[in-house]
Amino acid sequence: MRRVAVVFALAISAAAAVLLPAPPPLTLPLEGLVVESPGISSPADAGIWYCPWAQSDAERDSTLSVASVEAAVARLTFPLAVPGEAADSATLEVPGPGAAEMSLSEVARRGDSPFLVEFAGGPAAASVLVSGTGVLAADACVAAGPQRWHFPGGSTMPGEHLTLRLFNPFPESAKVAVTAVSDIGIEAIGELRAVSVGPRSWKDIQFETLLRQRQNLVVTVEAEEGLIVPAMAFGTEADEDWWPGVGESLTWEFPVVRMGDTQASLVVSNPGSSPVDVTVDVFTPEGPVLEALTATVTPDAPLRLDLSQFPGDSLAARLTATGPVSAAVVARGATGVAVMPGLSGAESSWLLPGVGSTLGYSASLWLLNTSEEPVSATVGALTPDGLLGEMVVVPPGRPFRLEVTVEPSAGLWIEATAPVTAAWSVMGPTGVAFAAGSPVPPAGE
Amino acid sequence: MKIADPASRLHNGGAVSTKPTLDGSQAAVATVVVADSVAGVSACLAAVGQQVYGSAQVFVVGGDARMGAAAQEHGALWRRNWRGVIGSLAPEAVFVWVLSDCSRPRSDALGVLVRESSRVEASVAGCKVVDAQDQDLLVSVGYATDVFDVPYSGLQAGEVDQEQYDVIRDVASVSAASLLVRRDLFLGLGGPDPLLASAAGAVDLCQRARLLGGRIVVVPSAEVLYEGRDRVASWRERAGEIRAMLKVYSLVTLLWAVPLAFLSGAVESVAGPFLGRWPLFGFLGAWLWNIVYFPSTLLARWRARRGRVVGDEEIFRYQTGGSVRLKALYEDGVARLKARFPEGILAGFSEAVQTGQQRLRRPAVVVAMLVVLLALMASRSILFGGLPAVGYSLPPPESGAAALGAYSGGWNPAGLGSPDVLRPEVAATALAQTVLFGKAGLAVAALTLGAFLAGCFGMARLLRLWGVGQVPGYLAGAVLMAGPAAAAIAGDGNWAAMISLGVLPWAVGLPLSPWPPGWFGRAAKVAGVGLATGVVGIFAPAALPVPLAAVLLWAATGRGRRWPGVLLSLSGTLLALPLLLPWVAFADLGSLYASGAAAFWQPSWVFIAAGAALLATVAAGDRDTALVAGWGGVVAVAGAALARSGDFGLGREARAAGLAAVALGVAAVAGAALEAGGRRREFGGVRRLAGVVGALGAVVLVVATVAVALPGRAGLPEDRYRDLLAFAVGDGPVTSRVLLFGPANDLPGESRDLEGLGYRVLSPPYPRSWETYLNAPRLGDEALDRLLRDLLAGKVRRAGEALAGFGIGWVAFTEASPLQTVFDAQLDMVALRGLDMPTYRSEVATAVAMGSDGSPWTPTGTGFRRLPGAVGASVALAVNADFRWGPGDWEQTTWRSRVEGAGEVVRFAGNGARRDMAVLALAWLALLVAVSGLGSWLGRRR
Repeated sequence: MRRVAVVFALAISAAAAVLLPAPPPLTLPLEGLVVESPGISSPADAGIWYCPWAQSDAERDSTLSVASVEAAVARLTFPLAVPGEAADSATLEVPGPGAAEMSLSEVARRGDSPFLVEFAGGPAAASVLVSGTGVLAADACVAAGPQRWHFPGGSTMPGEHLTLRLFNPFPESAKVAVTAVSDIGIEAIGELRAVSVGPRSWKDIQFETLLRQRQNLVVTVEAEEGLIVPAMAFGTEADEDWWPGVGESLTWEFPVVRMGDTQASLVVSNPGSSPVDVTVDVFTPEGPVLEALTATVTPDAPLRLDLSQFPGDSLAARLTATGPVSAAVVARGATGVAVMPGLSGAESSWLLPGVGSTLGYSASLWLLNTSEEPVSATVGALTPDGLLGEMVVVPPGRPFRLEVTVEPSAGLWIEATAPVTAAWSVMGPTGVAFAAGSPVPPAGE
Repeated sequence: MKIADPASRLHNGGAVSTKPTLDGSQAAVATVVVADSVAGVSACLAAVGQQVYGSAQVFVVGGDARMGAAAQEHGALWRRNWRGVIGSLAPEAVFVWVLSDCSRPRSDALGVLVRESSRVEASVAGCKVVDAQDQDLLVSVGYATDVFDVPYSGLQAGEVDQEQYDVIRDVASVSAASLLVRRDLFLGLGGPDPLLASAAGAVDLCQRARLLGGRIVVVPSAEVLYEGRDRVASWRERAGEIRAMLKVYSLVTLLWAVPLAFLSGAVESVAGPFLGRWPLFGFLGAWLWNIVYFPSTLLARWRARRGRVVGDEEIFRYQTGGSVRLKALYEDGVARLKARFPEGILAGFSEAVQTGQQRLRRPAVVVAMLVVLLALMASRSILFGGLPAVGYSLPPPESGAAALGAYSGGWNPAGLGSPDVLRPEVAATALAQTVLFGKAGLAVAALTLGAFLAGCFGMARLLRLWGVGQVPGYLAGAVLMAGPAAAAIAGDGNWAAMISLGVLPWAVGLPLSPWPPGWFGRAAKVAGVGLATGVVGIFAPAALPVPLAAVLLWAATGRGRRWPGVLLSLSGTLLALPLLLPWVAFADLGSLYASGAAAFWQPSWVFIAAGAALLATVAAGDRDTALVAGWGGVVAVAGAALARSGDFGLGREARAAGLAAVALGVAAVAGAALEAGGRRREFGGVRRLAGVVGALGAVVLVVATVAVALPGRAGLPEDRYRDLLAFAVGDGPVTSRVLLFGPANDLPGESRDLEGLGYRVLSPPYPRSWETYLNAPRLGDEALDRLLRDLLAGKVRRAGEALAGFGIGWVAFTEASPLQTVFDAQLDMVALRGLDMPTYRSEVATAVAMGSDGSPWTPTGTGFRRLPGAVGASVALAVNADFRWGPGDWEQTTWRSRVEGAGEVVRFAGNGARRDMAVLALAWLALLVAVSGLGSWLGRRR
């Protein structure tokens, strides 16, 4: 009997041990977190800006401009594209808020020299202005980008050249697929289906020899392995401009589409698989012309809309589409050629490094207020010594142009009471250039 | 030994008795000559014809028609097979005399055989066999066999007959040259097995006769001359021996005997060629033959065992220990060795050999040797290749002195370093390393093998206190060290806990062993208990209370003098504490049981066998074994509860302590069940059946130890890190660290957490044991954590530069992780392709210790040495800041240390108080060892 009791007690104890509850399961590593590939995006407070287009040689030089809301040290790195060779580097100190600039020739005088800028603080932005014999090109560097970049606005007619630069600032090789669509449809460029770009180097693709005599040529770059920061340069015999790629959006705003004697056109590309209807609102000094142009964009052919029919010395535009499209403005004239991608979103705060920084050229700030109410904006001139501010009122539905006369100024900081879009232009004896502003996201984003 | 009368159990219901129905002088005999050659048969029949005691019938069995003619020539009957002989036996025949055709019996042989076998009531009687050419030369005076049924004559080669064996003796088997079998038994057995060769057939016949209660004797006064040599191929004899085993042994015996037979054959096959023997083909042929004839063997087994009246024990009584063939091989080897050395050099060796031979005949010695073999097998990989680098099993530092210095108040190099005290097992291993000429591998091998053997023999010693025999005790020891619970401990990669487990039965057994009479012995015992308990605590601090708890449970459930043992164990636990200094003084003992992953142990299916053994033994065993099994069950259940208590906040250390208790308890259950199985014949009915069930359960536990033994790593997981991080080692000295990410249970040692992903920094090529346990987070660890969270948030693009500040030159992932995408996007980290795991190399030159001139300093112990030619006046150390770094002026830079005006070497000055404590612990250890050893010796002298 005693044994039975012992057996029973043992069985009960064993059962109790077996029935002890299991501890809660361990959470899986990084469970619940979305760790996305950072791509080339940068955090707002300590950004990295990639500038694929910069040149310095006997005939041209580049002005590298940085601007920051907070005091920051900007470290500029210029890869050499020679395996094993250490990159050149330079630093710029920026007061907060403030801007600084330097010539590429001070660091490296070896022709093409794409680079990246790393800010220890921010928000910040960077831009490149290339000037020299027969060239005035400017645009903002990029700190974020899509996986698929589009370059509307190019053409390869006689006397024109169109160069795609694939800049890989990372230590890993990258492989990209380059596709193109033109007036004749989707281009057969199988050799560009897998373009390999070595680590910390770049590769240029000349479309004027690859795809001759295309009136409208939209190039798309998609990274399949690694990361790539592409840029496009379009030139005529008189001038040249460069611009970064854009993504896709339903709305594009163009604070400036024309200046001086240039003729403007909007180039729209539909990367989707079905036709998209687009509507263009044109903003003239006399007021807005809503739905000034409407058209349907098919996937296999880019659309070029001529804006020369609209009066006025300055002009702005807004494009809305029923599906995602990419868009850019091309302005051509005797003074030169300027290309600028559209701005996909309005913000209350913008940084425009490089505005008014080059002596001998006239620079203008362009703001577009597409709302129905005037917007007050503080335009601060960022100088090496700090900020010099000026309050302006941006009228609704009209292009707003402000000549930048403060010297020495290396950039502007716009703070508006409501969202606007901002761009800048520069014009001189060697050409004309449009450059998009860099939006400053609200604090906390 | 009382042998039951098998009369009613023999021969197809016929009334057959082993007792003679006729007086020996009147008994009719049927003589059967087993034919092999015509000449042999003729000569044998001639000898039979000259017998003073005439045969009623003479048969010749086997061969062809020529053999029949030869038989007819001598007036004998010829039968083709044994069935024919059995069918022709005259009813008046009382004995059947089976002769080999090589036999030439002396004229009085049959008469003596009949008379003497009748007198001693033998069922089977054999003769003394001498060589026909040299009649002074002994061939056989009966055989013992080993458990594998290999006959063993016990004669020296060339041994002369001086009538030294002339006494009627019970033997396992008699020679096939001459067997006198009682007719009724002969009919009941169905005659010899026709498939077997002569010697194996004789052993088989004798064993089957013994199984039916028959007595087997050799009658040396009956002499047979043996002509020529045995013509049967040796592989047939081997095959017959295996078949004979399979026919007579119980299933329980076969469970261990058959694998051992195979193993011993394999060993013989491997070792044989070194001594000019080639048994491999015979070995293989024998097993193949048995596979082919297995169905026939099963039928024969059923026939042989259906009327049995004795068990295996009766067969074992006449067997010799060990393997006869291996012994012969060994003796041959020794003889050759002796021949090679001059007389005198091996003086004493032969005595030792003889003593060994005597011991070899004891089953306990054989099982002990098997346990040693198991220990060697189970730890062979560690013995020859060192400790696998996996989990918490990490090889010791190269320098034992450095490890001892680090333990005694020095620098703890785990992670980013700290002055925190190291775990005591690091010091204990380093001490062993220092004693063993600084060889880390040798220390690990010695500790592993030593623990394994200590566990096996300690368990046997513990169980012997409670009346459990040595054989079950040794097997229980094997279950302790290689059973399912030990496998779980080792499977966690907890090498140190395995060492602790080996000492555990000593820490439990010593307090419960008899209290010595003299003061020396008593002092030795107290010191020994403290020492054993201390070793348990040193290698598994959380298991320190386990011996006391086990003794307490025995006191509550056991019998005999036991409560004083509780006091002794408590004293031992208190005496053990100083051995753990300085760790025990500074460790966070509160969190010891809660540290690491939540404890939750999932028992394997083998525990069903343990449960069956436990229940059967407690329910049906005798009082002694039931008590032991009950105690084992309670200990195991308590341990299991502890090992599964993760839901109550207990962690890895608690699991290890709980599993140690489970291992101890299950081993006790196995030992008790095997002992109860051995005693089952003392009971009947259900209790006997329960004894078999319990023993079977224990056998399953014993067999399960093979799973630990086969891989040869003492149950530890396969090596993971020894070569995995080799990429981080260049031609020069290793100066930077690796940041390793992965699931916490896959990383070596402890790790920190980054949103559920484990990570830790370690020194390539693989972490050492002193890096196993990380310190509580300090400034540097917090800075690294912040950096990693910034990385995760995408705020860092130059991780290489940021990690360089931590001396980290490499980032690796044990498995693919989403975090890789972050490193893929870094500007100064290069992904390395083609490695076994995702790895990134920083492009920023870094070192744990970097001179102000930019040259790295190389590690030396826990300090750093300036490279030849380096001129920097200061050195920056990527270790958690501590003012004791020097010599030179120390300053803290953020979380790091910087030493200005450093000389050739910078090192951690050490914590004086901790060093004193470590010295005290060492002195205490020496004292305990001295008192234990000296006291024991002096006590015995008295």
